[in-house]
Amino acid sequence: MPPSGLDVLFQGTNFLRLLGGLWVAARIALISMALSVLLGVPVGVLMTSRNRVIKAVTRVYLEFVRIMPQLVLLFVFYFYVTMILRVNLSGETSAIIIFTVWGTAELADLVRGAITSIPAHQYETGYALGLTPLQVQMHIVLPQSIRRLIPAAVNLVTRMIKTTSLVVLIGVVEVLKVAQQIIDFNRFTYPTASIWVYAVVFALYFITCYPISLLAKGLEKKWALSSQPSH
Amino acid sequence: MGALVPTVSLKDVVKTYSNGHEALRGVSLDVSRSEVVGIVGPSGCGKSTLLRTVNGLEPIQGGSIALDGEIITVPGTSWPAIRAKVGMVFQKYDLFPHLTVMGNLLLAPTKVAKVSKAEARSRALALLERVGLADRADDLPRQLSGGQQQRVAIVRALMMEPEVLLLDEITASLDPEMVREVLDVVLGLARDGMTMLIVTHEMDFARAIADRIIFMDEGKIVEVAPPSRFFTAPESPRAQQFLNTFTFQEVHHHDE
Repeated sequence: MPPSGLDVLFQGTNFLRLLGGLWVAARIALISMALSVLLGVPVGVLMTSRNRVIKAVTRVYLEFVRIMPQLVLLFVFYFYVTMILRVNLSGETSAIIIFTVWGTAELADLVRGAITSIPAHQYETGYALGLTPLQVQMHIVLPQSIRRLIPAAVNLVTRMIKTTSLVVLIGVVEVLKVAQQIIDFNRFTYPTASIWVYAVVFALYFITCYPISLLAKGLEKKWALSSQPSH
Repeated sequence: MGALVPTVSLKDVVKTYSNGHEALRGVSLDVSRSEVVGIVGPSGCGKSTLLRTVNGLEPIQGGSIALDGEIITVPGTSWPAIRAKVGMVFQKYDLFPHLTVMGNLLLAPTKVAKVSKAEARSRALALLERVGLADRADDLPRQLSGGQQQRVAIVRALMMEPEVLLLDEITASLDPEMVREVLDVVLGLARDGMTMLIVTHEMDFARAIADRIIFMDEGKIVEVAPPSRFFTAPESPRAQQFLNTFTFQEVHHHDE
């Protein structure tokens, strides 16, 4: 009986290596997301500005990052920008920088949407009750904005984790690269390994992203502000 | 002296928007304690703007407004403090959607008036009881009908124990069958002696509740009259024309 491809996973430290690769992917996503929140919130507040120059600059930034495929951004940054700037950056650092540039744009747009979605009469009602502008922000605008923002921001985390699979192309050894290494190393002893190894990679992505996606859905439902359309 | 000082007093109030539109062109009006003033007029006549100047939501460009004899349209006025004494309910039932009914009612008393939570809570329950919504205290606004939300909005304004209540077309966005339940609450307040300025399109309601009707057109008060006279024999041609828009000629079908 030929050896099953599944056995490959239990050879040596293969499974642990895959988990290690997943951790590299998650680390890139989480660090980038944390930086995106730090930078995206102020940029999002800037985007609500009435100043035309600020509006135009933030708009161009957002559109540029949205239109360019992440892979192109990664290549351009990793191969050319580093060359022009004469710096030597690892693939992982480059990935974190590009993912932060992208995540900041996306998160800023979410922040902008959450703030501008609060109707003017919510402010007026607060003022009419005698609340100060600061109290209106604290007790009326911010709580509603955050309820709109957090589910969408959590969804952005899953998008980031998925997109980390691209960084293999700038030489970062993350879960997909580890999987390829295992498959290549065992090509002759376990010819059918690839399907099993990729199945495990699939399962790992799913186990990581699905709970996050569920969390986003749950929060969205819990914090719905207007009534659900009835059938 | 108290009885002689009007609760709200407007003198030659002018409101000009930055685009040059003159919403109020010299409006003077005294409202005494416990008086109910109904303000009617065609849309765009300035009646809503008039209400909004009284609590400073619209800054004015000329004239003055006094509350209990004290001029409030001067630099340095603390509008939050004034607004705590002037209740306002808007056309859009604008409860805070992230707070329960009770949360909506407690926000201003606990944050602005610094009343204890327990005290505000018992007042909220008493007022909810009065508008027939005592069992909905823990519901979110989205679980209530438009009429129920508007009754809660009235209670929210009453929580601050205002000296005067401004009602800005509070039934205009309601389904017709919910108008009555809201207006009944306002009729109850009038009976208890609440001073009110009411902008409304419900002519029968204005007639029943108001001590005085103010008819406005193009940013000016055109006619002031007791409702019995205003609705039967308005003096100004523009008021006659306005009231005519609410009546319909009968259509007679002839067979010949």
